[in-house]
Amino acid sequence: MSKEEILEVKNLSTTFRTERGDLKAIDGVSFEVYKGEILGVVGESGCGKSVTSQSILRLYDEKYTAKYDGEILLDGKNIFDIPLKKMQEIRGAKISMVFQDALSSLNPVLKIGDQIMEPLRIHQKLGKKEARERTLEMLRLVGIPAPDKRIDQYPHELSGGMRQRVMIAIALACRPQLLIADEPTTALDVTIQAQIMDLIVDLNKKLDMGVILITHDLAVVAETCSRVVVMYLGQIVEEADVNDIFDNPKHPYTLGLIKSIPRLDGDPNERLYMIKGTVPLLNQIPNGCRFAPRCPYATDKCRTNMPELKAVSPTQKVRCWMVEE
Amino acid sequence: MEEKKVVLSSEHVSQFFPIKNGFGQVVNYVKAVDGVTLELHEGETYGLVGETGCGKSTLGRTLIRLLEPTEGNVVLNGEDISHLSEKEMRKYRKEVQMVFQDPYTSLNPRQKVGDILMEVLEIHGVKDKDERMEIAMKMLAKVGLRPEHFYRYPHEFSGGQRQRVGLARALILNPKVIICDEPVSALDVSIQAQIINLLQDLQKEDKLSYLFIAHDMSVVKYISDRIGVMYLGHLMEEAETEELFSNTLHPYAQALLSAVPNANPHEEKQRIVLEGDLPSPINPPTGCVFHTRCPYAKAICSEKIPVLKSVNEKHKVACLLYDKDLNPDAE
Amino acid sequence: MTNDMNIPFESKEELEEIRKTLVKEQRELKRKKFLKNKMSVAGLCIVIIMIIIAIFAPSIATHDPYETNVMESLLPPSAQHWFGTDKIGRDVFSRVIYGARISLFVGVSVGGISAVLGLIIGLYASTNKVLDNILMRCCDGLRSIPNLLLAITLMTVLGAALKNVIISLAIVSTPGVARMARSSALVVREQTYVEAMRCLGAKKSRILWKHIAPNILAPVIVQMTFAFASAIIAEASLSFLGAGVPSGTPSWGSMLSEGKAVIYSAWWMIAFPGAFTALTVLGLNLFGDGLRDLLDPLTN
Repeated sequence: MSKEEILEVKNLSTTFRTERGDLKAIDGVSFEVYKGEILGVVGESGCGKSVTSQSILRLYDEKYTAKYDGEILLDGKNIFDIPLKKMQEIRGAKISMVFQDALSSLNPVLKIGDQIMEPLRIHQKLGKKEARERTLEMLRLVGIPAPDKRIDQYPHELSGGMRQRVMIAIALACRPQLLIADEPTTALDVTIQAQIMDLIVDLNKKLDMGVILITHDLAVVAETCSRVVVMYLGQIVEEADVNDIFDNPKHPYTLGLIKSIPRLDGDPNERLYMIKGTVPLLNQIPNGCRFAPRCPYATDKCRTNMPELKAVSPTQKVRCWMVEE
Repeated sequence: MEEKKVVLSSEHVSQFFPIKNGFGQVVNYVKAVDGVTLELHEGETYGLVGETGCGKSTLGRTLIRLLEPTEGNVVLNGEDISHLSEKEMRKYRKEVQMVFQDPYTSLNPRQKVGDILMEVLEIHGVKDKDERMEIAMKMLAKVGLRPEHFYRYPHEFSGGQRQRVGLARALILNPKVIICDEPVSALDVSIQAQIINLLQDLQKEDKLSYLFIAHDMSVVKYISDRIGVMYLGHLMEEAETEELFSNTLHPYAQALLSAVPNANPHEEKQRIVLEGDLPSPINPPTGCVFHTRCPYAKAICSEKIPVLKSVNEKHKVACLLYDKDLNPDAE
Repeated sequence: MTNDMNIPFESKEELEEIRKTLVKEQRELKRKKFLKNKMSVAGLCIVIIMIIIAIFAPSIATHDPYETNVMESLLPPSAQHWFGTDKIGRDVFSRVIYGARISLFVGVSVGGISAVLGLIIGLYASTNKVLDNILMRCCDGLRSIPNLLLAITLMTVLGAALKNVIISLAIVSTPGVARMARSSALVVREQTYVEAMRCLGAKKSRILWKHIAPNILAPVIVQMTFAFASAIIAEASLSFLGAGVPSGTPSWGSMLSEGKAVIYSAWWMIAFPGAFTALTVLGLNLFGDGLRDLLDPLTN
């Protein structure tokens, strides 16, 4: 498979200015997204996975709340060099996003058809009739039955799964190169979650775009992603193909995560593995390796020196001293 | 099979919430739970699963008598507690307790953890303050918290620690039954495992019975001895865990289980996709409530209401496909 | 405690030690948080100064506030009469100082009474639909009449006396507090911890007073500072209109009322009591905001 790179994140850091001083929510994150793949970004709350995705779109206010460092290259151009006003041409057109809560992401007083048409008319300057045609096409594409009826309905008339489909239709209306899905199914039931995930996989193939899937659910990752980035406390601790992540995890954190979820094909008499302790707050980041205080294998070196993210094979990178030695 | 002691059961329990119009007249009912019969045995974990709106949480709240059942009976240790007043219920409260989903809203933000625990004892007549404190301290240790946590406010804790406090509050009266309403679904993956293990340890120690309400099938499969599947207020299938997963009978349960993702990238799954949306519990379909979305639905399914019947000693199902009495064509 | 060994891990003394440090730590945190909010500290200072003035009025005042001296009528501020004198030659400074007593007394009483009444009404309204309808319709009825008009009407019925000023102003400001308390209580009532207390067999009154009431205190206290401030202004307005405290009694309101006739020739008669009124109200509002933040444990 030839790989065409869409997006490259290089050494990205996002620092939030708060009353209690600066908080570095993500620290030196680098990864690439290729055309036609689904990249899973997993981690627990506070690991910075959502901050990463929102930073890619520069959604944080740069004057008052956040400061970005590093580069995000889209088609070889650094997103941070683009004037803020021109960002609108990228958001929704080249990179678009689907959020967790479809109900609050949709405007309740606008018909769904109008909401899908809006990006088309802004970005592609389509006429009313053309835009409507494309909207119907989009609704069909995301599997909404009777699209000519649904197009004139309001969000509250749709079920949760249908609303998330509409969100995806809006996101994909301008055929972006990259779709960022931020916990798209967390608020949905399993049967609906399965349908939405299948839809994303299907559209990813059909439209040949890149997808970043942000989730805390390893089972969803296992079923949909081709490559996985595991984040902990604002850093990438492991990056690998999905099979390597599950069969051959190198970082103790990845291993802990995988062992701590009950599996459908697992043995119910076997005690679940526990990662001890809790995720520290961002203003209490430990010295050395950030996972060291919770790591069962931590040595003195781990507690004082930060390991680098190093490639252990062409497809796997790990941030751990154990692997280096 | 040995006869197990039933600690808590519901007999044809229904919970209908009236919908009133502007003049206060009842115009319709939301049929949240409709004629559910289930038994919770001593020392077992009964997993209750189903999707949003299936009535599993409402059933849990009826069993603990936060709600009075519209029809049917709730029986605790052989005594009917369905229509006891709040005052009469008080002495039964010790027996059944509840752990809630959201650890952030389930603790009073203005009470210190110690006061939360001690108040429970005060309500139940432990007069001596030192005694209350001693019991509360022991409880904290039991759920893996430290004595200094006694003097802290809930907002100083992480989600997992709060859930431990919630557990301590439920356990402090030494109940026989704990109704766990999605106790781990708001927690991070690594914390989930801690709480699940804690629940299991406590169960072994105190012979607790759990009614474990959840939507995460992998967790339910891991923790439960028996599982009941609910859909639109009805119990569709009930079986021992292994039996349910190896021999799923009800078409809804089949679809539900096929949708559950597994953390195994090598597995290719055949999904059963359900057509259409969940019908409204205000006007549920006639006959079998699932017939509007069932891939095997026949004409008879919209006419006759299936009842939960045993197919073998470990397995009950409410489906006309397997019911020869109601449906002559059944297998 | 009969036996210290029963407590796991630590001895009783150690535990007491932990408790003390934690309580101290929490208190320290609260103190810091409050001090960090400079505006609310300033507000508190203003309120404290006003209270001191009211308490020590006899020693602060330079003259007898009731002593008339027609020879010295309408003198502008001078070394002898710091704030000047009024029409019948009473010292304005002394009257402003004494006036703080009445104005603050009215403010505190009205704020306190309406907070307690409003809290009770709001809490009970949230428990029962029928009661809710009755209480809230009464409150709506009271609120539909302009505040001052209602107060004047009540004063006319009750007669001009300090006690009646307080009663009528409390009646005017209670519905606002009650509405606020009710709507907050309805939100808190749905919280899971209230459900948890019901599971544990807590009585309704315990849930209401121990679990709902503390959690709606913050908005009620803010509302109370508003009631406090508006009572001072309303007392001034009532006195200004002649429906307040009996004439001759020094209160900021009655002084403003007396000053209105000579506003062009004797500005000091309006300016000083007006400034004190404004300053107190400002201080209370600032303090109220700080208090609200302080009472919210989540912002610690």
